[in-house]
Amino acid sequence: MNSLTCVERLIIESLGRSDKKVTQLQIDTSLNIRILRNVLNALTLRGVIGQRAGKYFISSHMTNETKMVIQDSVGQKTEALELIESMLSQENVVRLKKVYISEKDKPILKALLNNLNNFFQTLPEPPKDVSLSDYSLFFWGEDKYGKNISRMMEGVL
Amino acid sequence: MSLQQNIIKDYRLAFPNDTLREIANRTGIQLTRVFRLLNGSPMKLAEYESFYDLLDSEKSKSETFTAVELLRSQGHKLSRIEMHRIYQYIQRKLYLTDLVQSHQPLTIQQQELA
Repeated sequence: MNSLTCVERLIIESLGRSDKKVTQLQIDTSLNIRILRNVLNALTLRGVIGQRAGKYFISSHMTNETKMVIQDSVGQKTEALELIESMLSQENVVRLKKVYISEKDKPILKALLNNLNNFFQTLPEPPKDVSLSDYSLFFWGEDKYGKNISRMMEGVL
Repeated sequence: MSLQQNIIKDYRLAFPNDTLREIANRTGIQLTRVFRLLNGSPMKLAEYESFYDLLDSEKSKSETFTAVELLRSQGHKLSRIEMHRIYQYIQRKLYLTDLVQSHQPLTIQQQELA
């Protein structure tokens, strides 16, 4: 695999906050223990993490290739799609609206979206004891209906 | 129709020509017990689970077969980009499946951490 999966990213983010034992990782990620151990094995084999004195940590000896995989923006988009796919599999979690926004209403919408963005950016740092699994996922965007369908069809052609 | 009747009906649809002995072999349920179940004797949960797991595995095999056959016969119609996307999607799903289903033996360190 030349990219990370979202479950691997979750572990990396958790260890990025602090080195952890398996039990601490399980609390922070809420992952099933068997899956957690398999992902830890996979990340260890890839040289992303190491283990010392019973704790896992982010390796400081990662190859450049591995660092590029972690930072790769195309890979991150694919991870985002995995998260969104998971949200879409739930009922009433994702809302898609098809509406007409007049020129008069466009500035209002832009202001509301800016407010939302500012709200997220100005949220205070979470307390240290908050689990990563308790973080919330939001995604939003806007596209023109016709352009969206055309783009989708171009990918098919 | 009861759960028992439904699962027996589904079994008959999936394996219409199975003899009692073949049903017993597939499900792991004793032959005489299979006869009783098919004649209305109340099914135990473990027996229901045997039928269920068997049918679930058959269904998943046939869906996989359909997907593979569809790609094989019609895949050439897809654009290179679309085919690459499908390939990447399947690759990731298989990788995630390995992460979920792998039963790797624990190392000594991991056993100590448990």
